[in-house]
Amino acid sequence: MAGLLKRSAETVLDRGGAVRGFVNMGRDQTLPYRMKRHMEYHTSGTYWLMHYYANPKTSGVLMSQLKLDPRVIRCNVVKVTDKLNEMVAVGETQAPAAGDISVPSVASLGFKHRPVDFEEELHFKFWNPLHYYKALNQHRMRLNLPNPGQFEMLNREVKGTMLTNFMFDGGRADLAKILSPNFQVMHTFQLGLPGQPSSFEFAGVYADEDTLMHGKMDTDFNLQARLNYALSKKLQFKSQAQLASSDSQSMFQAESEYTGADYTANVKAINPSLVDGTGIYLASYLQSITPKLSIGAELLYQCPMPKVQETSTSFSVRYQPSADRVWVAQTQGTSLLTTSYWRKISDKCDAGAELQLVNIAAQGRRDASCSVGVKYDFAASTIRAMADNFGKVSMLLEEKIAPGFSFLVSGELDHLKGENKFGVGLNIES
Amino acid sequence: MNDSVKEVIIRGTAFGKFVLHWGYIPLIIYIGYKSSYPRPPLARIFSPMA
Repeated sequence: MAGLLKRSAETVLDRGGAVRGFVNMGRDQTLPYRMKRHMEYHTSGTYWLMHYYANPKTSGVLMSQLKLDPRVIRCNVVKVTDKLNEMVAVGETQAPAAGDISVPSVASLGFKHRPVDFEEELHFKFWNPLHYYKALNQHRMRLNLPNPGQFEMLNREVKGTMLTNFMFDGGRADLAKILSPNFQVMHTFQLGLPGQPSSFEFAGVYADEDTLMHGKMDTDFNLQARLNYALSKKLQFKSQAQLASSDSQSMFQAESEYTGADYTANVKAINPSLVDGTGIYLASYLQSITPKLSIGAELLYQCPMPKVQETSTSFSVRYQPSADRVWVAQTQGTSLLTTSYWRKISDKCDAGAELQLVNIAAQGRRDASCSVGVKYDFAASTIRAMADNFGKVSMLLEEKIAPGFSFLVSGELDHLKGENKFGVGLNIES
Repeated sequence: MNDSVKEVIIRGTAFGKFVLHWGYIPLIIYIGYKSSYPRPPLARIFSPMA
């Protein structure tokens, strides 16, 4: 924080400007709504104000610098006056505090105020059917509901706590090189296992304010590519492709997502084919009903072969009674029900439980699986542990030995089958 | 849809897949290289050890 303020002051001073001072306007405040910056969501931040004199070019340089800094959520410059002597009159001891330049480190200023015309609400024109939509929208805006997030990220907290996405096997070395704030390159080496040859993966990531490009290629020349482009602040286009040397393993997916004030709408196409219309198409809609509850629905339309069509619908519910508890329930068609509960026990520890019920009538398959996981976040290490109802117990330890150097150990024991997996890894960032 | 149009689409998507497969990562490297202000030495991008 101090480094950020110092750097901003230096930027102004180096270009012949003057810094009058800094004002701390609130430390670790809860933000009025969740904000996203640099691919991360923030719910709390600190508000800072920097009062300075400089020419417009310096202001521009300062703003572009702040926009790049990952510690800054929102930044804004407000001009006080054009002429210096208007600002500090003779005999005045204090310059006006309004219109200062803000250097929020992890904060927001000037959040949108939704004006509600109360006059219009009183004269509800019940004879005008077009007015119903307007009145409903006004009422909805007045509720000031938060955006519910994305449909796939509904159980994001549980996914971050559970081991399933982080588990690995064998020896692994991950060397990430941050060549600039926008560009990053990763080399991943994986030691061979009985049944899996050694492999090397090269990944490049370019991240901008509007775009994210991620490409990963391994020794079998399989490519995993991702491209996200923000067409506007609310509309985002995302695409993903997995290309292999054989066509059967190749996949292409494109989706466009619109983030409204209290809803998210998403349209996705997987392997669409212009020739015969085959592919999988999804449309989903997620809406906040109350500040704690959001409900979503998804429609799936499948066309695996030119004359074969199938549809199914899924529903999901997310209930967050407070910042440290989340309940999520999701159905998929008529055959799958997933429920999860996530609880933040302290700022260093959180736990999650997930229950999945499968009922596929066509295959006669009815079973359930349940897993409980815990994550401990310490200053120099992260420990994740998970236990399954199939008798699988697994653990992952990530130890930060030096800045940019961490050591990982993972182990999994399957008590019912008598199998085990063990992994050792290194993550180096330079 | 005409058979010839289908042919063109199928061949076009095959060509597009080929271009994407081999050109995507070089494209990312090129964009990243041009946009980073202290231009990173090329050896740092390609060699794991540098």
